[in-house]
Amino acid sequence: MSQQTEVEDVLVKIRENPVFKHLVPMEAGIGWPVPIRRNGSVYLCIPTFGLQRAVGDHPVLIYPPFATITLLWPNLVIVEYVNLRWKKLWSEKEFATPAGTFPHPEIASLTLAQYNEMRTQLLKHYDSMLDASMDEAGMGEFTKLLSKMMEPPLLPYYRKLFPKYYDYFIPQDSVPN
Amino acid sequence: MDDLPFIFHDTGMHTNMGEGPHASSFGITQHQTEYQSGEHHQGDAHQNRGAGLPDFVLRLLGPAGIHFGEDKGWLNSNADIDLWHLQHHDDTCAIVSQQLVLESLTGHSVSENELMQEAYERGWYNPGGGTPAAHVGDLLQAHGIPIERGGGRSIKDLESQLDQGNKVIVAVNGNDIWYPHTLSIFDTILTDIGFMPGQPANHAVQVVSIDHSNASHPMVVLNDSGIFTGAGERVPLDIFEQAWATSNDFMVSTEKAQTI
Repeated sequence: MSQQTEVEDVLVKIRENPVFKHLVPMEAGIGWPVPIRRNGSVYLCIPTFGLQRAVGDHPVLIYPPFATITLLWPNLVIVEYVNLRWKKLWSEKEFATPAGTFPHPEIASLTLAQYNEMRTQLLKHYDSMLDASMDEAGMGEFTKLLSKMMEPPLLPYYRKLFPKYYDYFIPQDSVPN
Repeated sequence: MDDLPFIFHDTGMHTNMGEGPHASSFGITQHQTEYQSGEHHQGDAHQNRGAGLPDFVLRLLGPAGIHFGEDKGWLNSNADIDLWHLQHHDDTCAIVSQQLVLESLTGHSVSENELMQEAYERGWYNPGGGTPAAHVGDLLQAHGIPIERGGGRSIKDLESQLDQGNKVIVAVNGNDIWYPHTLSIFDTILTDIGFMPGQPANHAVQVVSIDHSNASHPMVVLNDSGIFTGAGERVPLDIFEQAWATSNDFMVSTEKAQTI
């Protein structure tokens, strides 16, 4: 089924990729992707993280990212898989310990439909970013939506993985302690 | 493409590699070993699986370590249900499902933690993540049990495997089977969501039988390690099919009944 945005489509299709199936647990979450430009080509880097669904009254647990997959945009050829555990970006204990819970306060009052709508709006901005059609107003909206939807427990890890990107869009001093 | 204003040339990701705190230990983490003292001893359940059954049933079950392909149906199901236990970690549903099959077919007990460690060392399990679909069943193969694995299977395929005395593990969406009629609740409070689209299957369970005793309401009997009531959990067939479809009807089945 075709999704509402190109990025959504990619995030659905990537799960059917044999590389993904071999390396990423089916219950894992896909994090906010990061567009990258290198040598005139555009890539999309997708972080994956552990995700344990809510059971009963228990919250959804989210774990630190354990891998990134980078795709050439728009033909979606995988150019890199990085096992963050192998890279020892954080400790073994940290990998296996919940980083926090979902949803975070900024979005906790949203209905599922409202959340999905906001997510689609944000992913539309990703489309604009990837096809170079994003204007200043769009960038402002992108920043606002990303800041609101970003899972705070994952942000420190994303910041370490993609420091320039997150220092630009969600500067450290913009995040309340 | 060169004019993309907001895409950064290099995220600096690789320049940071290795700067993080290094692992002080390898394998099972402190977080995980906290649960070890509470580990359920499968062997006890397995050894007692025939307790209380009539002699003729015990003869049919045979000595520990031998599984008869013919002991299908309720008998096979009940023996498997006796082996069920709750998973001791958030992300070991696929490992426990394989453990239940392994113990059922071999008669030998093996702990969840032992299998988790083995899967981790072989690259089939990601602590804090789980088991990739392509590796569900690898533990069985490693222990001498041939498997068949893939998507696009049907209920008929599944039932055929069970009828032959084979064991079956499937990937499902847990919430579809745990909360089949509570969509309205999840639509009003944001407690469960796939973050990104296309993330429906999130749980592995063993299918122990399909109960057609009520022809108009067939039930799928599961060993579901994810919930306290998962031993012989009964799920309406239509609900099961909905939950299974989220994995493109992914199924791992053992090949022929094994004698090990």
